[in-house]
Amino acid sequence: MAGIEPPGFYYNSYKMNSKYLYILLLSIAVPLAAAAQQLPDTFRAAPWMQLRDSAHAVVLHQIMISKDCGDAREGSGQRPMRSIDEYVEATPSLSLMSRGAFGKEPMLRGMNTDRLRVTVDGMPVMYACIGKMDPATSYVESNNLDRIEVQSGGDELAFTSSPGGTLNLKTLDPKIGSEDKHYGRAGAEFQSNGAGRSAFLKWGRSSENWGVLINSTWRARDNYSDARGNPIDFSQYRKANLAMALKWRPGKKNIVDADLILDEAWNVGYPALPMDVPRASAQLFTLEWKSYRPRGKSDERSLRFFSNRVLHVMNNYTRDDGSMRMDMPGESAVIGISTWIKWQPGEKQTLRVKSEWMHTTAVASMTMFPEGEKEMYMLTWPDIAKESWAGFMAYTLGRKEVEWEGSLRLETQLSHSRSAMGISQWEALGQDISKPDTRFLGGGGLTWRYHKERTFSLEAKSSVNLRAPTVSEQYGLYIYNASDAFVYLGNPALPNEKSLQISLGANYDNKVLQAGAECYAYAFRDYIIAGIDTNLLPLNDQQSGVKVYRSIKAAHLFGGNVHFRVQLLPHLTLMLRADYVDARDFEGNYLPFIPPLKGSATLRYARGKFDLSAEISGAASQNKVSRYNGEDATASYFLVNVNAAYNYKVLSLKGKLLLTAKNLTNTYFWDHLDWNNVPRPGRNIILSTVIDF
Amino acid sequence: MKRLAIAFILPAFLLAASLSGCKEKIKITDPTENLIAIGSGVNNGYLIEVFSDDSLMTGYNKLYVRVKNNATEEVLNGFTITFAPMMDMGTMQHAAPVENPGKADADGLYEGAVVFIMPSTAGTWTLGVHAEDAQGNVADIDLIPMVGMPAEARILSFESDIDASKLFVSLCAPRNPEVGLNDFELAVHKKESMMSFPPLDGLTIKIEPEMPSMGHGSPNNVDPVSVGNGHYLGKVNFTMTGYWKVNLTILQGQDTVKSHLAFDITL
Repeated sequence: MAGIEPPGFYYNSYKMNSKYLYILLLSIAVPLAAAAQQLPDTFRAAPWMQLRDSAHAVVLHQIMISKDCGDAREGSGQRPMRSIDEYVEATPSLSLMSRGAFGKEPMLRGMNTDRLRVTVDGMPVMYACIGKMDPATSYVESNNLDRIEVQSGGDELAFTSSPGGTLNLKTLDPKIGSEDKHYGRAGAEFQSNGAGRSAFLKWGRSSENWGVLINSTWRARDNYSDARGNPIDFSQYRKANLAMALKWRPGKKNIVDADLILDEAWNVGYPALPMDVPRASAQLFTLEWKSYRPRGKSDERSLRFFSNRVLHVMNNYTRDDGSMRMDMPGESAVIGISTWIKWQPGEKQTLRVKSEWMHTTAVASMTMFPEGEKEMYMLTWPDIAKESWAGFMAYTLGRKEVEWEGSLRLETQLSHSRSAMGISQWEALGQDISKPDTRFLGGGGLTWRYHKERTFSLEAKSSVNLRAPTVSEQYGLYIYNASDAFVYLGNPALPNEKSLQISLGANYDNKVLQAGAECYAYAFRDYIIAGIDTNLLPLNDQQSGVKVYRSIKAAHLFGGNVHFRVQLLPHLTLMLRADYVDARDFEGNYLPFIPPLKGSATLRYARGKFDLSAEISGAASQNKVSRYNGEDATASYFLVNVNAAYNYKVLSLKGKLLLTAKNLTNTYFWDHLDWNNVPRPGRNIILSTVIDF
Repeated sequence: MKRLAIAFILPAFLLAASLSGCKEKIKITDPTENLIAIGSGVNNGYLIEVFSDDSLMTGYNKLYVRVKNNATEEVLNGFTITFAPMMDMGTMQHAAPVENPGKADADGLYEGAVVFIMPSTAGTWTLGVHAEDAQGNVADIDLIPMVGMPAEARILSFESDIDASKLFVSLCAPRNPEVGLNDFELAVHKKESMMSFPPLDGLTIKIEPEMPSMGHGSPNNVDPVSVGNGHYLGKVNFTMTGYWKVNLTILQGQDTVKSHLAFDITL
């Protein structure tokens, strides 16, 4: 496997090492010099995750709980109506690519959704927008979120062959209890910048053998203003979300879960793009049966059915820039079934087996309306259906304080175009896509863990992954990218992207001090990236040219993060965090959109009815710009955010009142991952309240 | 273990079920079912019927002729068909380029073509159809076809920059253009006299499709090459629907016959 690294890999990593260490030290020593909005209680890297079924506490395999949200973050003192994007941004090793104020694209370890799979309750949700303006995170509401689970370093193989890992949005489960009970919560929020207003209502009922939870959310925001007081046009959005969850316990050791999420967004503006979204609509459904009855050496089985559909409508009707009217709708759908079985073949041994069948479709088109002429129509995603069959197996062997785990994933993927016009469009480009494309994907991983009681743990992970190109990378037709103004063509003949990854992590946790560090390195072969093709002409003269996805020989990526939390006084906590990534191709050229060095320092004081916190976060300047994209360097910035919460009681109802100031010092800035340098909001005063009943 | 087996078999079954396609049905059809009847006539006991793909338009029109014994309705295959189109404009008369059919196909249809170089609004077209077999049996009919003007011109006429001879370039294909690669076929005829329009081979033709409202072209086009009988065969690529202009440059050897010619094609 050593042969996978590109020739420059060792040299570059050695060269970067001293700088990297220096940066890490600096970010610990000078913690005020760094990053994104940051929430107390974020640093719970639990070695094991407890599945909170009230009936059974089941130990699943290792999951990094990056963020507890929703009800689970009671007592964090933070706004209950923070958007999912705010949670993601505050999670170690995650960052956001932004095209506006809505639907930011999550990136894990510097890899975007081309290499990262975003799931909702374990179900993959595909974006339906060719411009990735609707990641799955935009279809789930934070007050319905239990936690965000991040799996990487080989753990993702249970869910995907992609090396970037998985980001799972685990929604709230209804409670099941011995007594019949209603419970609920209502909240409202107002933001001064952009007149942001939102409200939610949650209602649940629990019984001995069943529980139900309904959550409805509404959000609206008009154009926000940057720190210089200039309104940012097309930064508004409207959104409504309804989530229903049903839990039923037919027998002592069986549980059936049904989840339905309906999400509608409308009047969504994207200031960094030439188009807006009049409507984005998603319907997500999962049905799962779990059994904890011992049978032989197996004590846990689950069967899950899932399906979802996303419709994304995009046009430029609201733009008054004289350009031709344009429609760009997209639609994606997923349907699948998976099974999951856990065995205990011997003492301290666990065998997990998963199988999954999944069918996904993606279709998108572009229609342009020239005045006095017939409309122009073409497919941009030529109705691609992908069918995959995956088997996964992981074996864990524990010995006192050390644990080994080996995992293997085998996946077959068939993809084909269901559109005769799409096949013709590709034929005209000299490629035959009429026959199905069959690929063998998967990977294998090896993990070593050491833990001393519950206070200290060490972990070393490695895995190899084989990733298939995405629909855009393989079949995309003239997809416009507003960041570099090129149109992108797919490449049906792309080989699979191979990668080798290693990561090291350490965690220390006693009651007073919590600290963790993680570093990782990836070596890619046949790395998929778009390059300029001067033989092809763009669709109009506003476009810079045509880029075609291709495989470059090799690329590599490395990075790390540290987080640190200490109880200074009984009521006073200090938290620090820093994140760093570097990514290059085999010639040492930077890859596009590398997140800058980010960090944050938070001081929190919680006593009695009051919960106060102040945070300084920021990013270092980013000069590592890619020659593949028309990026420019981005300056460093620092932000101050403060938050005050007051717990009150009216009659017998408990409530909470929060006053938050984001960007208190009114700093004018944008992040390196923000497209086209659209400034972020200036000072924003937020008043919010929740009440429990 | 049984459940495990189910867990693996069920997805495999779904996979198999989703991959199985459906079979095509075979149907016997009348060969003229999708054709338009242009006219017919009886002469010497023979019924002559003339069909075309579409209603007749200025430009290149494929014609299909069927000869039947008028009494027995037997379809007769052994005839040689000759077309004689004539335009009567009152003060003058002229013919038009024709491609006389060869042998009848399996369905008994004789396939040929007439290039109507102007619409019926300019005068009166008559189309003489002459049928003759090896035994000397002859039948002649005259039709008065109505030739319309297509929304987008399918024939270009101009004088050669080399010798001022009058040339006609007609678009034979694509008849129903689609997004993607289309066969691009031209027929070139030269006017020798009012009554003689022989085909012209050996020219070099270059094409360049263009979407005027966007300012872009398309890749992978194939310039038409001479395949005989005045026909030139190439490929044109339309990357999207909408209004396209296919620009033509015609050369004879190194000399330009005509440039800045174009067919408008909206799909």
